[in-house]
Amino acid sequence: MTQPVLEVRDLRVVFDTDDGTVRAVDGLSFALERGETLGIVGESGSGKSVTSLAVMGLIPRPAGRIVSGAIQYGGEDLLAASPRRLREIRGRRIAMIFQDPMTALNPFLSVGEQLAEMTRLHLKHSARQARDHAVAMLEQVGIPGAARRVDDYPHQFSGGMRQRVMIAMALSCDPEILIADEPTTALDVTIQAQILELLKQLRRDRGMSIILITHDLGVVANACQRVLVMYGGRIVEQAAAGPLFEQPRHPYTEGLLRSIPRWDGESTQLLRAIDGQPPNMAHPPSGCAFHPRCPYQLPRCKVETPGLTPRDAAGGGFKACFVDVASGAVAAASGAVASGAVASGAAASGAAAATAAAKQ
Amino acid sequence: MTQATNSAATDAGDSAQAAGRGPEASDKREWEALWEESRRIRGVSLWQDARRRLSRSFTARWSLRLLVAIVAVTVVTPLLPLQSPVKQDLKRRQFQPPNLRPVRLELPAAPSASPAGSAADPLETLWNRPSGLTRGMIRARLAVFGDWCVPSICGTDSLGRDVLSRILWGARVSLVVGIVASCVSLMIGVSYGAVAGYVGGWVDELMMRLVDILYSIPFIFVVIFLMTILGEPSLKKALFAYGIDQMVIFYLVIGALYWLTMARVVRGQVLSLRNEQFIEAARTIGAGTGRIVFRHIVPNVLSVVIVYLTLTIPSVMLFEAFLSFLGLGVSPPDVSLGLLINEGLQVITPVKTFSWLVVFPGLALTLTLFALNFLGDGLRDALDPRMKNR
Amino acid sequence: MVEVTGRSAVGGHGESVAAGQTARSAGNVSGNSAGSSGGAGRSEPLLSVRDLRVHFAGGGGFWGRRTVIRAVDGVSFEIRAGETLGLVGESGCGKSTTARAIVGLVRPTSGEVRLNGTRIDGLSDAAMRPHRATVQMIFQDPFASLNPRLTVGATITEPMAIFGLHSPRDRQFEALRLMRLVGLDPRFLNRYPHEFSGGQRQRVGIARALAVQPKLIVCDEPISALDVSIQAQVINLLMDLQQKLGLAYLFIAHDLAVVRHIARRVGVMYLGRIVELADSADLFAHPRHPYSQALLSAAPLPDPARERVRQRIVLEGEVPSPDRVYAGCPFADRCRRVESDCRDKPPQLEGARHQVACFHAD
Repeated sequence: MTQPVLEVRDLRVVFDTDDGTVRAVDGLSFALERGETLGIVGESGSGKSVTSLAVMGLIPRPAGRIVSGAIQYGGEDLLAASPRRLREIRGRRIAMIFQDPMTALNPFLSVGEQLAEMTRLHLKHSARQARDHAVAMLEQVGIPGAARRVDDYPHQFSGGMRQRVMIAMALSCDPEILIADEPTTALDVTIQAQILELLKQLRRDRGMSIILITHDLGVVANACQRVLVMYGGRIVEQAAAGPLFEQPRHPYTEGLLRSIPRWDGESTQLLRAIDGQPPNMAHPPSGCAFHPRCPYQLPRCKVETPGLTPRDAAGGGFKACFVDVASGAVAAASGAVASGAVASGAAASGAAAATAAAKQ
Repeated sequence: MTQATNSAATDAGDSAQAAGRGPEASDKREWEALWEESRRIRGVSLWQDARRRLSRSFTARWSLRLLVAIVAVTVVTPLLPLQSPVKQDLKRRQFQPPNLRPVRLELPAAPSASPAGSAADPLETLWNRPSGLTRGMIRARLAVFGDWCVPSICGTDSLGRDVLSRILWGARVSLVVGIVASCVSLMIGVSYGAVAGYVGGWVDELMMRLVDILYSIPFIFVVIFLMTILGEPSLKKALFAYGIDQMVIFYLVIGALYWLTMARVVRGQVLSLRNEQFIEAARTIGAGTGRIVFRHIVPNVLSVVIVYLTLTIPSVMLFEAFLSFLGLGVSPPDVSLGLLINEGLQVITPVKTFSWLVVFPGLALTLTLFALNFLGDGLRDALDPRMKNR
Repeated sequence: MVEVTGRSAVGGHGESVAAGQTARSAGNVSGNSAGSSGGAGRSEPLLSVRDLRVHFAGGGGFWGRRTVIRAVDGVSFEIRAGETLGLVGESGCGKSTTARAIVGLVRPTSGEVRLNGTRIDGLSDAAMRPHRATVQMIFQDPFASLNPRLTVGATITEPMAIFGLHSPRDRQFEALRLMRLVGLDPRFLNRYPHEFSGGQRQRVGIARALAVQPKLIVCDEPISALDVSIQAQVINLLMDLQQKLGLAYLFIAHDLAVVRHIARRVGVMYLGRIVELADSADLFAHPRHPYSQALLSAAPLPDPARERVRQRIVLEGEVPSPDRVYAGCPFADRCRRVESDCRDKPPQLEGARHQVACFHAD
């Protein structure tokens, strides 16, 4: 396989809050391949949105800090890049769309002006060029009557159309990477289907790499090739979408899949919910963050943090668990790779694992 | 969930038959034990949370301490061995700069021996007809310190009165005016604003237009008008019969003016709270208007009100100073900080300025106002939930 | 016309479902004295809504021509004791407004809401109060629906105090019992909402609704603000409570899978009307209204293998603004099967157990 377009290694982000220092992202490593859609799944507070902000260099300061790690893009480390260089890359090479398109658009500028601003800044377009480009972009994301609507203001668009405008803005400089943070959460299902279809089409036609951050497993199943499952600021499982949904190897993934009702097939009487509450990341549980809610919990889960180990013999993906969920037995491999893994050790092995995954 | 299911299962029996009755008597002991246990686990209310954050702010913390000190000193002023705030001595003690020369109270001969009351009573001559508790405190001071008193470390004024003593007595009046008048404005403003905001519709429209009208009337004319009318000797006497003296009227007048802004602030808050889900929840459990306003809305508006209150007190104190200058507020022989500063300013001539007459009362007023404003600022940050985690 | 057809159909065929539900929870229900007395005979539904309309004054144009937002425009359904009716639809379809009109938070423009045969629409807050012991509500946002200044105990005991249930001391015990019933640690009676997580707060909201022993709980998107792993806990709790207490739910959600799971009967709403009303299993297996079909085909499944092969019905455009008055079917503009008669007169809910408001339904 080719070199990944984006590689995150051992990323650690902390936030200072009233309750103390929160480790929002704790030793995260992953690689994004060219032309793939990578899903990052997790609950609120799992660190999935913070990851995307870190990649974009948008961690709010001074509350948030990147403690360590590297974000490799095209041979340079974005965390070490100058603010000026970062601004060049942001929008031009890596673009982002947010959950709420209304807050991300300036209500006082027409969408045409906002689109033109991007290309004039990054692509040095003339006013004329920029406007034509804006119309072309709006057409491409499927806004009817783009030539007419280019002068409309954000409030004149409906929710789904606004999200399309956001995508048009993100795409206007033809970026290599698109980060979509809960792009459909605020939208209705029929509109969601339209937007997901648009993202899939962009990936196909332009070979764009997409990071799709969501809490909705249905969206992931629909649009992603590969999935990272995050819990408590760490990756707990990473695999291609098919195997992950078919045979989850981490108790949390398994719990999530079992707890969501499906509208096809028969409804069972009770859902198999995951016990307990999501962790308070200001005071995270010792050892594996999931152990207080885990049905497979072992004594060592309380003290040791499991590192990323191969999911199965076939070598498709990784999981961070001592237990082999599929067979219910303690995984032999996990002991070999991550025994006595303290936080940094586990992270290092995780980083190695992710790199290895990227190379395959 | 297993926890829920299991525990719920044990309750399945009594949950169904509990309609209209309390838990079974046999279980009652268990519930009581549980209740006792629950009483030991106290939650951290938003107020406690705010207090924690307030104490983390340096300026707010020291402002609060300074204010507590100022209030404490003014409360115990009658107990302190101070000179008389009213006794004049035009011959010997006029315009003395700050000094440490010893001074005696010059109590009338054998005060305790003379028959009760009468003109010889020091409380009548050396203090300004104190009443009730103050009277008792002064007697206690006389019993402890006798005629010993602190020298004129802040100097004396044009009539030979001790400035330090007058500052402390004046600060008492100023603070009481500020606090009481602000509280009056608070009570009127909060209930008015809350009702207007919650009831809404034409009631709100009517009530707020009335506020607009009152706003457009110049303050000062209203005060002059009211104070003049109420200062009418016959009316004054009639009111006095009900125990209402000029100070009470003064509080009411200022309070009646300052509630307007409070009402607007509270109404705005209530309007935004009214659409909160917990207000709708209160409606769906059948809570009446009174309960919703006073149990659900007012406590949530209170944080804003408290901030506004700490900022109203200083402005009321300044207003009082201004009115006293016009002869409409506190009138001699009562003193207030505003009155003191004005007296100091009046004796400034091109030939001679008696700086201590302005500096010390000015310092006292400024310190108090500063502390109140800083505290208000700190409170705003501490009470604003949006400022959390910042 | 709407109401007659709709009601008679539901009345005729909803019975067996309701009977089954009641039988399951009969022991509990019969123990409850309140509500089931009076005119509520066996055939009487617990809640019956007939031709409910809620119109709001919309923002006018610049020259003051005010529009009318037809949030709910002729909705009819019935809920029997112990039954769950789900209402699904996209934002702006009027499902939440329907819920709010039933509990008296908004005043219906016309139509009837009957609780045990007694009309409760358009009542003042005071006149509505006695009925609130029968119908309660659970709200969407667990952070906004609890008063942040009140302890959990005070929140749960408040409805009891309003209705004068129990002695003040017994109310405390009752609050403890309810907390345990909804899966909260009763020892945290004196804690404040901000000390609980979202799922736990939602449990507090449920305990508050249960405090007056209602027969019907209107759940307005009760889980959409919760984390995925917590949603299942709350769904299970609601179903568990239904079994134990014989509750009926009106369950409003946009998540089709959740509604499929919890509701026996489901209504699909579009632009203020119910376009399809059927038994849950039937509706999800064989949707008949073109809109329901499109809605279902758009809803993702957590199954990549299935997702890859699914055919989607792509709806053109978005839900139009509800301020328009339609002569015919409001869905006609976006419908795949539109024919000329669709625009002439509005289709009514028709059919036996599976009701559809469409002239060309499958």
